[in-house]
This record gives sequence, C-alpha cells and structure tokens, in this order.
Amino acid sequence: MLQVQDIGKVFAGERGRHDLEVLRDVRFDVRAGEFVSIIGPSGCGKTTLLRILHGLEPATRGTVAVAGRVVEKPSPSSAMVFQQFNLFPWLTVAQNIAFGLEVAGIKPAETRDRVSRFVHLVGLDGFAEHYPHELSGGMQQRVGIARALALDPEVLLLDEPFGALDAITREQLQREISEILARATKTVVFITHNMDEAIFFSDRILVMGSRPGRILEEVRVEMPRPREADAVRASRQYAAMREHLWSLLSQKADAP
Amino acid sequence: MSRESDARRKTRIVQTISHVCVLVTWELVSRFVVPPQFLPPPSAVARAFWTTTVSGELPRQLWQTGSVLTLGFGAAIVSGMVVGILMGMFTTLRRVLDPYVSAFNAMPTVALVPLVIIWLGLGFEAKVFLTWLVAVFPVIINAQIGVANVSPAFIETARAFGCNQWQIFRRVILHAAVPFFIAGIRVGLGRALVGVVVAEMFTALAGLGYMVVFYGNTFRTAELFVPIVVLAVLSIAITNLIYRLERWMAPWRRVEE
Repeated sequence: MLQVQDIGKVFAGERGRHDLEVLRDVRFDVRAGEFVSIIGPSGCGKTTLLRILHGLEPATRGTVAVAGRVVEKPSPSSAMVFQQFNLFPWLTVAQNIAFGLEVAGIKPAETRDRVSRFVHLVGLDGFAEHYPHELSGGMQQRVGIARALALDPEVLLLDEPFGALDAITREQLQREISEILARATKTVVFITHNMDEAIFFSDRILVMGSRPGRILEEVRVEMPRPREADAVRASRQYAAMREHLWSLLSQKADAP
Repeated sequence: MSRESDARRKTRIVQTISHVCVLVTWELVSRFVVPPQFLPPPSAVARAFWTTTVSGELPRQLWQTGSVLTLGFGAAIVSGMVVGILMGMFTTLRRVLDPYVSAFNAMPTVALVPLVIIWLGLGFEAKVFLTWLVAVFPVIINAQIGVANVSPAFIETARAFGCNQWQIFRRVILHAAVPFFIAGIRVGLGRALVGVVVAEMFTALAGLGYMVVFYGNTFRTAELFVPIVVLAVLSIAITNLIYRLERWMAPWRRVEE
C-alpha cells in the first residue's frame, strides 16, 4: 500500500552553514491494513519523514508511493493526525471534521453524513456544535482523529498523537483508538518515541537512529490481536522486546 | 447561575448609587462652589439638551457628524482592511508600503488639516477625508499583523488537508486574523471620533464639533456640554457595537479572554 524508496533529505545550509543531512536511504513498505510504528530519539527526522510521506515536504532523493501512485503533494489518499491536535479554533467540532471533506470537494449531503458518523465513532455525540476550546485535550485529539478518518484515506499518518496528553487520558484514548482502528482496518504509519505505545499498536516497529536519520532495524511484534494493554505488558515477549528496543535506542543516543 | 445574576444585580445597584452620588455632588458643587460658567450643573445641561433637541439643532448636527463619521470611518475600515490584508499576504508590497504606513500612523495627522482644507475646501468632503486619514492607519497595521502572523501550525494543517494558496487564505488566514481586524477597527474608531470633531472645529460649519466651538466661544457652557455628552455616548455605543460584532464574528474567542 505504501512504498518508500530510498528517501534522502538534505536541508540546504544558509549563510555559510553546512548542509544538514536529515534522512538517508530510508526504505520500507507497508502492506494494506498493516500498522507500522517508527520509533526513534528526538531530532532523528521522524516528523520530517512523516511530512515527506504525506507530500508536505519534498524529498531530496527517492520516492513515496501510495497505492502505486507517487506522492507529490498532500492528497486525500493519506491523512495526518498531529501531536498538538491543530484544530481550527474558529470552527466547531463538526466543521473541523468537515474541513478536509469540503476541500476535497465532497458533496454537502455526503459530508454531513460522514461528519455525524465520525462524531459518533470517536464518542463525541452531543459535542458537534462545540468549539475546540470547550473540549479537553483528549476530546480535541478525538476530533483530530475523526477529521483524518472522515477522509477515508488509504494511509493514516499519526505524528505522536498521544504526545500532548496526560498519562490517564493517553491510556484511555489509546484503548479507544485501537478499537476504532481494529474495525476500520486502516494502513497506519505511527510516529512515536514511546516504546510501550509502539509495541501495543504495531505489527512492525522501525527503529530509527539520528544524524543522519536512517532505519537501524525492523522489529516484528508477533502478538495476537485484539491486544489488551495490561496483558501485553505482563507478557514475556513484551519485556524482551522492550529491552531490545531500549538497547537500540540508547546505544544510538550515546553516539556522537 | 442565580449567584451570577445576583452578583450582576449587586454591581448594578452599586453603580446606580454611585452615578446618583456623582450627579448630586456635581449639582451641589456647581450651584454653591464654582460659578456655572465654569461648570454648569447637570440640571442646566439637561435643560440645554432639551432646548437644543426641540429647536432641531442637536438632531441636525448629530446627523452631520454621524454621516461624516459613517462615510469616513466606513471607508477607513474597508480600504484599511484591503490594504492591510494585501500587505500581510505579499512581502514585497509590505516592504514598499511599510515606511509610509508607519510614518503616517506615528505622526499626528491633524497637522495636515490646513493642507486638506487647501485641497478640498471647508465642506463635507474635507471632513470625510480627514476622518478617513486619521482612522485608516491603525486598521491597516492591525490587519497586516493579523494576516502575516497566522500560526504556521494552522497553515501546515490546511496544506495537509489539501488546501491550495487561495483556500488557505480564504478558509484559514481570514478567520485566524479576525481578532486583529477587530482590534484595528477599535483603535481606528477612537481616532475617527477625534478626527471628526477636529475637522468640524476647523471647518466650523456644522456638526457636533461646530457646536463645541460655537458654545465654547460664547461661554454658554451648559449648551457646550450637550455635544460633549452626546459624543461620549456615541463613542460608548459604537464601542459596544464593535464588541457585539466581535462576538458574532468570532464566537470561538469568548472563553479565552
């Protein structure tokens, strides 16, 4: 479903500074319906990679293709969920969810229909006419997720979607999202620096190293679904995997 | 809910009492302490208000001032928003116009009154132009700041959902900048009111500013207070209107304040 071929990204140095190589030879495929996490230390280029996958940022080298079509600019075939929610404060919940649909030129009747469906799906019935500032962080991120899912994208791109939430909200929302995604069977690329999240959600975890950002290793998570957070945490596999991820991440963080 | 309305009622009672106290004190002071030519008692001002209204003078002059203000300030809002938005969108235009806008905004534009009179005479057009001139620059500057400083996160999000440049402008920038538009209009209003009165004082043919000059020069202080009070009430009323406009245009701002 998603093919990433030899992506490289160099930010040109300005005013005598050296060029900065952010990504080198990033290459992976994601099958339809697969959940792949990209985990790595801060500043390893995860977010830049996600922006390239969505067509928000051009790659210096290599190509990204969704369902066989090369990505050149953002299109409804992929949709993004942001760490800081990025809802438009002047739009209501329903209008925020409708935003992408209207831009994509979907008919008003169809838009209304999808908005009410996805408001319900993320458990925000009764809040459709509220403004974002009237909602808690967790509820705002549900809107962010509904806004992305409403486009019915082939690939869902999540940029640390739980990163700005407190621990309890994060856990609740993780559980709900995993249920929603289990039903929707979306192809998902999930950026995180949280190992527990990566293990809980993923079929595969790509571990990135920094300077330049590249994929160090691919880790498969062979745990049955649906997963229960507590059961996952209690399993022996989990402990071994966490240790393995930790050794990869910490070793690279120490390198000069 | 009831506690809130209780508090509001208490505020109103306290304010009413304080208004009455101020008026009574003023009345007593100007009857027994200072001569009425210096400070007319409120009762005399009320009488003057009545006589000028009945004679048709106050409504006529208020209409004059109102129409100058509406045209001049209205033109300042429209042209200031257009120029400010264009300056916010196009960096080159901003670089070219910014020195002039800043200079005109900083200088006391009333110094240009004699020049405007030479250009446009003492009539209606000169007054409208002056009102526009003093009010337009804060509108331009605020619109430009609002448009140029929309959070990059909003623009990024709009791009991520497939917006082209025009859609980003129409669906994001225009909305995100509304609070700045309103702020510019609010500052512009204060300037416009000063502009109208100053213009009328210089051209001295009609309007509330003319009433101020005429009754001031003839030492009829009770009548002098009539246009002053009317101007104050007018200013409060329009400010209130702008507040309502903001509530209507940007209901999402209500709780942030």
